[in-house]
Amino acid sequence: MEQVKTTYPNPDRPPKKFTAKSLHGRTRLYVITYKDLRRFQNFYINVFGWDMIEMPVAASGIPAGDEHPSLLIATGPAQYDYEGVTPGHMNMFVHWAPGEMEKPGPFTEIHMDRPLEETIQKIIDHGGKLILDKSKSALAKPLDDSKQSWEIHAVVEDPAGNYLYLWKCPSSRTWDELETEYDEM
Amino acid sequence: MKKIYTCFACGFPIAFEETEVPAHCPGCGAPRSQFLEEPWCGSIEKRRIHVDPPEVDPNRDPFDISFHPAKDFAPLRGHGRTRQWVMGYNKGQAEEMRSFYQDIFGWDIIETENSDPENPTMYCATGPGTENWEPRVCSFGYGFLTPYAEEGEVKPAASFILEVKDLEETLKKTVEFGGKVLRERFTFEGQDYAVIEDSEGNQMYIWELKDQEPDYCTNPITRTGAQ
Repeated sequence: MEQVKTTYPNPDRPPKKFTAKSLHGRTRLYVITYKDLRRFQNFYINVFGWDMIEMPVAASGIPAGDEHPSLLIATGPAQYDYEGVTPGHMNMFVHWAPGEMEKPGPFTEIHMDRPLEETIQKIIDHGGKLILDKSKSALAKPLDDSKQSWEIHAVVEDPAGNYLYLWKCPSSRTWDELETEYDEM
Repeated sequence: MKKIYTCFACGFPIAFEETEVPAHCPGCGAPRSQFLEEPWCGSIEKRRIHVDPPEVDPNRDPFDISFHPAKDFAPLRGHGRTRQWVMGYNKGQAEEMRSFYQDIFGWDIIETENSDPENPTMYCATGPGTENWEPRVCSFGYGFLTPYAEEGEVKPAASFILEVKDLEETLKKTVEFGGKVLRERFTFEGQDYAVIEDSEGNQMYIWELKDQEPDYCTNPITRTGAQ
């Protein structure tokens, strides 16, 4: 495991234990957009050494071979399915912005065992907003909890206007994958 | 009838009713004809079909986005990793933000050492961490909630933080490959950063960790996945 010295004020305690068998609240990937695919690739491949694949249709909703593909990007060591294989970095989810460049934000996992509407209502009750206007985000969509999907389920805004791209993992998740670890009691 | 389907192309396993199986693999996009089937045995962890992951081709074209296993990142020594995110808030909104993220998502939030107590920069643990507040588990990150930037050309926008080994060299390459420098080297809480914009207009911080090298550079990793 990577050992890096602390770079933040240490409050003389470690972070709290995350003991639930749940990834709710983890910021799993970071979401940004591009206008010109080749230009985007040229920048990140040459400046930062990123490695990228076309995101499968099951996760992007965009058929393979589309001229404006979504991308799944490894920014550090990754599994064959582009989940990280070492702790300490996030991979990227990048999609085409048909209009203005969109607000970037974290791809955040939400409860996989609770109704989507329940999680969204809690966000609204705390001053957040559900984004439905596709001109604000190409990923915005009405809530649909009727079928399981690897696509982003909802785009929401926090009280300060930041976007969160929410994902509810299908129930077929395997709990023996590295990214599903949680704290012991 | 529920079955477990393991993709021959990438090894990704999924469990679904036969009538609801996706037409393409969620891991790599391969068609359903590539799925290996086995009966549901009560748990996906107990499946018996496992596929060796494909080999990395060190000579592949980095612009080719067809499915391939990710490259060996050890030679980069951590350069280019997305380490954290940054989200802004308006002055006076700190407590609202803290309660939003604590109550809904269960984050553990601390203030950075030299913050303005009225409008602090807050560091957020979004999942399991080490004693020194680094993510302990793969594939997620921590981040900062901070008052919206008011420095020069830096936009009041959400952003992310990339690790770099040489800040000036990265600024030079940023311009060479179509990006912009929004703020030259500066120090925040003892760490050196700069702010840049990519070729598309996305803003990001770059964080110089010149002498730190991730453990995987000296102790090679094994890609176990769900195997």
